[in-house]
Formats: sequence, C-alpha cells, structure tokens
Amino acid sequence: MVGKKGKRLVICLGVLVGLLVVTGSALFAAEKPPIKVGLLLSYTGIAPLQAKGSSDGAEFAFDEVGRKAGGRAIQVIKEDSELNPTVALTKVRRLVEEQKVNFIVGPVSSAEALAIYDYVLKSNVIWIIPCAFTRELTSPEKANEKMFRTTETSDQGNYPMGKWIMKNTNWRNVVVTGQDYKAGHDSVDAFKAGFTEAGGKILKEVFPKMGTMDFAPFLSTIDVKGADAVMAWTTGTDGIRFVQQYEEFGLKKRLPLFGGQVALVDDPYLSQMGDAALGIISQSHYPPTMDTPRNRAFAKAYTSKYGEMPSRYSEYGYTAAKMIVGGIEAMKGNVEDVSRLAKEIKRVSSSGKIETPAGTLAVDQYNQRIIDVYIVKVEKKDGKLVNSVIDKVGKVSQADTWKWWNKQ
Amino acid sequence: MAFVLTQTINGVVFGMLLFLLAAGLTLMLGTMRIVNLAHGSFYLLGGYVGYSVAQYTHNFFLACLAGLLSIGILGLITYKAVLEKGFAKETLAQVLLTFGMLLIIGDVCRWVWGGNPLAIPKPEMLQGTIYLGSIVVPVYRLAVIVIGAVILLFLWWFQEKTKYGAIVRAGVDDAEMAQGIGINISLVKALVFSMGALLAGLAGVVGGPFVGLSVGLDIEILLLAIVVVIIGGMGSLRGALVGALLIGLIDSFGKSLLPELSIFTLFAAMVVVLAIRPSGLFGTK
Repeated sequence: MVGKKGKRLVICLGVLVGLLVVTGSALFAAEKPPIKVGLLLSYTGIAPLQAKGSSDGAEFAFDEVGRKAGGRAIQVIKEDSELNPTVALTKVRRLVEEQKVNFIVGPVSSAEALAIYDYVLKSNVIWIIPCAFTRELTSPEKANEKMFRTTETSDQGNYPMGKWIMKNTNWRNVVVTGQDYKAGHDSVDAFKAGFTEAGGKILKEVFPKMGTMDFAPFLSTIDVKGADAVMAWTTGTDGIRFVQQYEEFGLKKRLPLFGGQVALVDDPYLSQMGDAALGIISQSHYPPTMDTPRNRAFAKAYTSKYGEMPSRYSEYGYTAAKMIVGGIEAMKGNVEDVSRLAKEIKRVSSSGKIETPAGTLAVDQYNQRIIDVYIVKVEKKDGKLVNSVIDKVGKVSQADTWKWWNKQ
Repeated sequence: MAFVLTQTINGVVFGMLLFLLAAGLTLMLGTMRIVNLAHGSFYLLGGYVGYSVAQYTHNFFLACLAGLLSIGILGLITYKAVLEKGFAKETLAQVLLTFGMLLIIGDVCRWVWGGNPLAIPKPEMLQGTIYLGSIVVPVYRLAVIVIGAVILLFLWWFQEKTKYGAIVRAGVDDAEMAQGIGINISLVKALVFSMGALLAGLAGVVGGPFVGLSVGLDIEILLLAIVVVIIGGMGSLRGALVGALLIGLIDSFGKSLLPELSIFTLFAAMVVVLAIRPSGLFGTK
C-alpha cells in the first residue's frame, strides 16, 4: 500500500495529468476539430455479419494510425441503418446534418445504397461504399467523383467465374439458382453472361424467395436431366440451409454444386454448414486465409483484437478506412474542400501505395475498385473448414465484364 | 411419380413441424382468445436454447428436453405475469403486449447468440439418407414425421380420453359454465398456455437441424403458424393438423411447380378456405 505522502503525491500527479488533458485537448480542439467519419451500417437486421465485419475492419484501420491523420483526430460515429432503405435515409441525414460528418462509410445493401444515393451526392461529403455491390452504382450514368466503392461489383467476380468454369471444368450444361432479390438476380445474370459467352448452356433458372426455410421443394426442380452442375448464389442463413439440404437429398454426389461467388460459402458460415460444404468451388477477391506476409500479419492482429478471423467484409471496411486516411494525409488535414479531397483520394487509391490485406489497392476511372479474383475451394485444415485458394484469375475491373462495358 | 412422392414427403415433414407450432397457437386462441404473437419467439428461443445445450452436451435428446422445458416455463411466466393481468384483457392490448415480447425476445436472442445464423447438429443416429428407388429422403426428416405423429397421438389421447382433456374441451366450449361447475379455469388456462409454448419450444429444436435459427425467423414462422390456425379453425387440434399438412403440401408443391409464386399459393389457399368457410375448416364459431 502507498503511505500518506505517497497518496498525496498520487493525487497531485492525477490533478496534473487531468489539467494537461483538459488544456491539451482544449487547445487541440480550438485549432483543429476532429474529422468525423460516419459508419452507416446495418448493425441489426438480417445481415449483421456484414455490418460488424465492415465496422470492425474500419475501426481496425483507424486504430492502426492512432485515430489521427493529417494532424487531426478522427472521430467515428456509428449509425444503424437496420438494412432498411427508409431508415438508412433518415440516419444518413442525421449524420450529415446533425453530426456534420466529412465521410460516410456504408451501407450494406444495394437497396439502401440506391435509396440514399441522391441525398448523399447532394451533400458535401465523401461516400465510400463497403458492401453494396449492385453494378448500377458505379456504372457510367451513376458514377460520381465523390463516391468510391471498396467491394467488387456484382459482375467482377460472378462474370469471370462463368468463364473460368468453362475453361477449367467439363461442366457445360448448368442449372443456376439464386435468391429472389436484387443481389441474387444481378449475380446470377453476371454468371450467366460469362458462362454463355464462353459457350456454356444454362438449362434452368430457379429463384426461391429470400428467407426460404425449406429448400426441399426447390431441390427436385433443380435436379434437371442432362445437367452437369449447379451454380448457386444463395447467401446468409439461406445459404447454410441450401448447402446442407443439397447434400441431405443426395444431390451433391451426382450433381456438383458451386458458387458464382464465395457468398454461397462465406467463411463465417462454414462452421455452421459443416461437411456439407466440403469441396464447393467458388470465387473471392479476398480469401481470409490468403498466404501473403501482409495478410498473415493483418489476420493475426485482427483475430487477437476481435476474437474472430477477418472476413471479406472486414477487408472492405478496412480498405475504406485506409482510403480515408490516405485522403486526409494528402490534404494535410484540410478536408473541407470536398472536390479536391475526392481527387486526392482517387489519386492515392490508384497510386499503388495503399496496401490492403487483399493486395495493393487500385480503382478505375469510375472510382470502382479493381479486384484480384481468386478461385477458392472449401477444404478442411486442422479440423476447420476454410476456403483455400486453388487458382488465380488475376485483376478484374468492372470494364472487363459485360452489360454497358461489353464491347461486342 | 417419384416427383409427387418426394414432394408429398417434403410437404408432410414441413406440415408436421407447423403442426407442433400451430397446435399450441390454436389452443391459446381457442381456450383463452389470446392472440399470442410471441409464439414465433417461443419457437426461436426454444431452438436457441436447444442449440446451446446441444453444443454443450452433444446430446440431441437433452437439447429437445431443454428447449421444451425452458419455453414451457417461460410460457407459464408469460401467462401469469403478463396476460392474466387486468391490463391484458382486451385483444388489442394482448396483441401489443405479445408483439412487444416478440421484439424483445428477438433482440435478446440476437444479443446472446449473435446475428450469425445457426443450425443445430443432427443427432448421430439420424444422419444419412434413405434411397427408395428414385426417391431420396434424409433420415432426419422421417424422424420429424415420427415425432410429430407421436405428439399428435399424445394430444389426441389427452384431449379425448382423459379427464383433463375433457376439462380443456369444456373450457373451449364454454368457459363460464365450466367455472360454474367448479373447474379452476384460471389454472387450466395457464397450463394450456404453458403447454402450447412448450410445443413451440420443442418445434424450435426439432426444426433446428433443417430450418436453422436466425434473426427474423420468429416472424416468418409465426406468419405460417397463423395461416395454419386460420385455415384449420381456431381452437381445433384436428384443424391444426389438417391445416398444417395442407400448408406443408401446398408449400412443397407450390414451390416446386411455381417457385416465383410460392408465397402467393400459400395465401391463396387461405383466402379460398376463408371464402368458403369463414371460421376455418374445423372452426366452430
């Protein structure tokens, strides 16, 4: 125990520290107020996993630089958009008008993103989209210099996957299935485009509604005569049930199942799926088990901080935060000039100097990220199911895909 | 032929699960006129409790027991502490109260078990698949039919052959008269409510391996259970069984023949039944 004198000394020291903190921060605040970053993510709703990953990833990146950039503090403000477009619009207004944020990071779903699109672009903020992946947002008509996206578009992965399947497997006649909502249809369409352009044939399309509990009725319709394999873009809880029931009904042995994107067998869901997921091939821009020194260090630090492996959603959030930090640094903290800030973010993002867990960052002329496409396969390693890299397709930008990018 | 048989089996399996859920709901509505929107939460919470017990003990039977008992007790508490009170006498108040519970329990589940969807592992002995010619049936699904049939037989025996069953039926038909001849109707109601909740809890665990557990499932499953009760007629166990099998089969065939219209076919069936028999197939009032 400390003596009386010791106690007094401790109190004196405490007061001193307190004074320093108060005056210090007051001085700091008087000179340069903190830069505010609003995280508009659906922490609740049916996709909390995506929100948590992006949120943790972004905070992880801000913590790496001590929540400070360009001589100013970075303050993170979180708002829950509940995966609901109306709520997202209300919350983004609050972030912009009450909190006066400089950056918006979010949202998770494309529906939310399209709902807040007009409002955010009218406001004086930089918008970085971590998860919503509808191709429209960065299309030539909708792209905007103040808007960036760190996830792939619905086409950048699914489209090359169609070509890869034609080239590397002997599956020629494929049945496609997806959830009956925007992301499901967009993804299936992209896969179909890639696959049929390469000469493959789609035998049937099946779209169960989102939140289908029992896939048994759909499975017998998927089982088409003459089919070589089944492509599924079914994610979340639906994906777990789909993969499990696909095996239960004995289809997996006869009719291989694969994903147009890793969304079918996202790493956080694998432990729930169990061995039914073994051997499923899909495609990802960031397999968390990627064996590069940069990613090994990231995954280790992230895991020890949050108690779980990073997911691709963490990578999207992390990259968004890195772009923000890069932009602030380039502007030396003067982020108030938004159109110059946007140009600087674009410049640093394409400079090849920002390293992300998935590799060196690059964006195209529409501020859409250019990704590396890896082909992954679910394998068991040390008793744990993981997506292991089996092939690399290489860099894919949205202009390498179809729709309005198609040169044919 | 194989298609019809496969879909029939699927429909019956799903119907049995819905029966477990709807049996409780229909008794609550029939005996007490209680609109229990928290029934979906009972299902989900029962499943989550079962999941945790299964993780801990690796015993599916214990998981079922835990899910069923915990929700049975929760049901009893809900009835005694909330629904029996004076402020909950009106239907609107009940709807609001139980809807509030639905939201609270849903959030508590998300808080405790997280937002990740979960699936209860199937018991070791019920894994695998049976091949009957061109028909493929997972063993576990057959087991669900058996469990449903056992519960059905038990409920039928209880209601038709025992004195207590007669008391419950008396309560359904005329609560005042039953009270008049010395039956403690308040106790009967509490026990019926608790038993209904218990069945929902059991359904949560039984459905866990193939329906899974996730945020929002409480509302989805509640909607289906309500459709079953409406089709079958409030308060009728036979109605709950027929309604559940009907919905199970319509769901199964509807999804495989007209996948894009799968929700429509379910509600179309409800509308048709209501148009022909406004009180449901086996409803009395």
